[in-house]
Amino acid sequence: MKNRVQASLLVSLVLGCSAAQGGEAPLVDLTLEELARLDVATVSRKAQKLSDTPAAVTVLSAEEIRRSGARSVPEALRDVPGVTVSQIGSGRWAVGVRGTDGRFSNKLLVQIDGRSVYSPLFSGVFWEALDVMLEDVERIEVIRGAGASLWGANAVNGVINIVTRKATATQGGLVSAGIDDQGQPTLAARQGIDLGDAGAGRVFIKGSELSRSRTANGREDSDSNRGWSGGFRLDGAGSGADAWSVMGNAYHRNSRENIVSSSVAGFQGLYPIDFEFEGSSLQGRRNWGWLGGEASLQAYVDHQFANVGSYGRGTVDTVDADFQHRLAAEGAHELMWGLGARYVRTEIIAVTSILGLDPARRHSRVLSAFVQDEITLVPKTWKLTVGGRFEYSSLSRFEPQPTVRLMWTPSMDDSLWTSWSRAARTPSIGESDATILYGFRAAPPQAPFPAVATISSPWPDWNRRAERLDAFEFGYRRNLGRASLEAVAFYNDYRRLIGTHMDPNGLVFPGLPIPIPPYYAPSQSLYRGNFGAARSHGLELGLDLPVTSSLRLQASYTVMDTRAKSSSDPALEAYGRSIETTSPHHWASLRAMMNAGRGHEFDLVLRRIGAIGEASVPAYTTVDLRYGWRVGPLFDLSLGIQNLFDPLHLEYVSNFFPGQPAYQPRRGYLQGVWRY
Amino acid sequence: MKRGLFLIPLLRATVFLVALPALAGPPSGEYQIKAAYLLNFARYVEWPAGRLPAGAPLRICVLGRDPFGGALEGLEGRQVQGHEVRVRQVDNLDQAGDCHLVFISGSEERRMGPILRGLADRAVLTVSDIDGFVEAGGGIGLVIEDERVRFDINQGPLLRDSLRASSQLLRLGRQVFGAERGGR
Repeated sequence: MKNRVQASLLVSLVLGCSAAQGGEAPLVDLTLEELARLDVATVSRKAQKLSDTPAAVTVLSAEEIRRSGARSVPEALRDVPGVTVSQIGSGRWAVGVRGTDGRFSNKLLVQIDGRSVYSPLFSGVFWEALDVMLEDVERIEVIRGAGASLWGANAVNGVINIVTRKATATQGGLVSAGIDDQGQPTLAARQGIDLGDAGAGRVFIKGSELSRSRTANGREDSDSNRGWSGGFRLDGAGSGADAWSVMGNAYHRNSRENIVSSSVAGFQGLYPIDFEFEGSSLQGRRNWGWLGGEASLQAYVDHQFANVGSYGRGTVDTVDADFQHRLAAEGAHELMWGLGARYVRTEIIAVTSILGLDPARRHSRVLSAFVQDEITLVPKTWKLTVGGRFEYSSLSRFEPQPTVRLMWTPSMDDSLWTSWSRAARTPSIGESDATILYGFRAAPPQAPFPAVATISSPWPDWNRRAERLDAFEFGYRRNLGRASLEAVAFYNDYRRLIGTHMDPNGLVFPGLPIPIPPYYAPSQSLYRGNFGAARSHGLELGLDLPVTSSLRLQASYTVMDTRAKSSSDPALEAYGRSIETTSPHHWASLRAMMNAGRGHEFDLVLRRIGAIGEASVPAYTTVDLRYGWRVGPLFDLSLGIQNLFDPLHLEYVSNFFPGQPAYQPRRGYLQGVWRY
Repeated sequence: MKRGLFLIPLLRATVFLVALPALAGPPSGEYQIKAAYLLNFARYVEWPAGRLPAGAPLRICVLGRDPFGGALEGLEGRQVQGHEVRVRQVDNLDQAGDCHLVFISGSEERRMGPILRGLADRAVLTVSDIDGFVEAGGGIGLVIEDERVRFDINQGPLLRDSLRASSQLLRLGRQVFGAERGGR
């Protein structure tokens, strides 16, 4: 009873205060000094900015990333509609957009400051090797849907752009130190350098050791992930469109995971594999005003090396140049065009007979051109965007990737848009060139041999083509005062998916040697080619609701379904089934951000993720809690608890390297950030 | 039963969370504060007499989508340095060029370069909260730091357009670029 009285008293106090604020003398009469001292309830600029874009775009601001308590990029993406993020193990993630999850989600392009971190070896991102200093990230843009007309091949289901802050915005120093409940530390430091009239620079270094997973019975797993990354960024103090920046980075990470081996003749078990990742890059960019518009030229070199235990190693060297020009608006037209060239040298050295590559070395080239015209059909009301990217890749062939987008803005607060886009996903080096011994399966009892080896290899007559997507989208966005609502429906039609077919010639004798009589196992080949097709459709809902000036709610819900074309071929049928079961059918999240004043803040996230596959990963619910305290103007402290009410759950079973299922326990971490 | 017991501290915590903002006083809306800043910039910047004759109205304009949600209406009709403030929303550079202070909305981020070039040499004070606005050659950039609205000033475009920022404005700016030529 006493509690209830207290509560109602407090509620009326809160309401009273808000009412008083509403009717008070306007802020307009305050002086500059007074204004600079006011605490602000940050309202996302998303709504205003994005109501102009005929695409499903979510921009995570630095503040939202900080408040999410994320300590890695995948964690920050967790509550974006249409995006699924599942932890596979220590530092290992499956991140998917619109249902192409997996450890290597091959239809999602990820870039840091315009530099692609999508690996052409396996068509995907090695999230476990990517340790970004989130304190210096300005924003993360998540573009769902086919972005290929602007971003190029592999931006099939989405693009994630990680944009770091300009060095001119990170003057001064920063030290961030954290520790989790397993005692694993994270330490990062950044120092800004004032270059006077020339501009500004910063150098940073980060080291981290990530928490281990649990096994199904709750014991600590032996997976691990640790390493460092460091780099610099220089930005010129240019004015107008004139700007330049130079940046570089280097990293080294070691990650261990346990692979479940398939059995032959009684051998089965867990094999630890140690991965080693190493890489560096150097990048330059120049922007200038040109012909009344704006031009930018960016170039980078990137080196990546991965060592997979004693099984093999791969190297990727990339040189990329990209030019863009946005012309001044000419009547109803706003034209933009660009050219790109990329050279990639890959080398995979396989040490065991499990994996073979032919050729082991590849030199691939991509040449592309894009053009886009934004046409105002009726000022402020109807806008048509027509564009396309024309890309030639030596790994497939000429791929036109067009888009048409129409937007109707009947009022300041509503926008409706629809689009059709076509996108291509280039075959990876692995898909194109690898011969992989998948394993052995037991032969029928009457057969004169005990097992059959399954080998996956490219179809000998394969005329390599990129996978193709036709995407249709329909979106609605509405501003409700300070709140905003977004709904996007999509329909995707995938063709020429790279799947596998059984070798029609059946078993090949004598096949492979094995250590038991009769000392050979015939082999069955699975041929890869552009055999598959699938369709998916879904709906994404997002709500951003600043309830009061100190409480903001964000909700998202996604429902979707994927259907692969069925086939009489068992291998292709199994491939189709695997696409259908890579992501949950629905997932939702609710986030509350509370500013409690005096530098105290609370963040609460509730998530419900549907089952994946035929319940190989059951549905789960998690609650994450974060408490942040601005101890002083220069020092922030935060405490986070993940999976508050849930001692153990499984988020994903790795589809690439069939790892031991890694369960996620309740976790806690403490982090302090000093700025000076 | 066990779950019920567990909920009590949670409820207490919720009450606590609701209570804290009441004690601290609710913070103000971001764009209300930004609107107040616009008026103050008009107070502390001096336009050339030819551009803003005595007694003429001082026009504050928003280029692009208006993010202020009505907060600018409170500026309409106020007196600043003997000028009456007029607020309007504009859609193109021609209209914006007639204004004295132009707030460039976030919706125009991609066109920021051409806009700044188009408004150069027209004695227009450009203000925006687009990230990197001042670095890109804008006049005054509003930034959020430590949950407060602050501003950066780029003296370059102000001096070019013969706009004189008062020393008080320069003193309160978080960062002042091109200051050495400004004679602080």
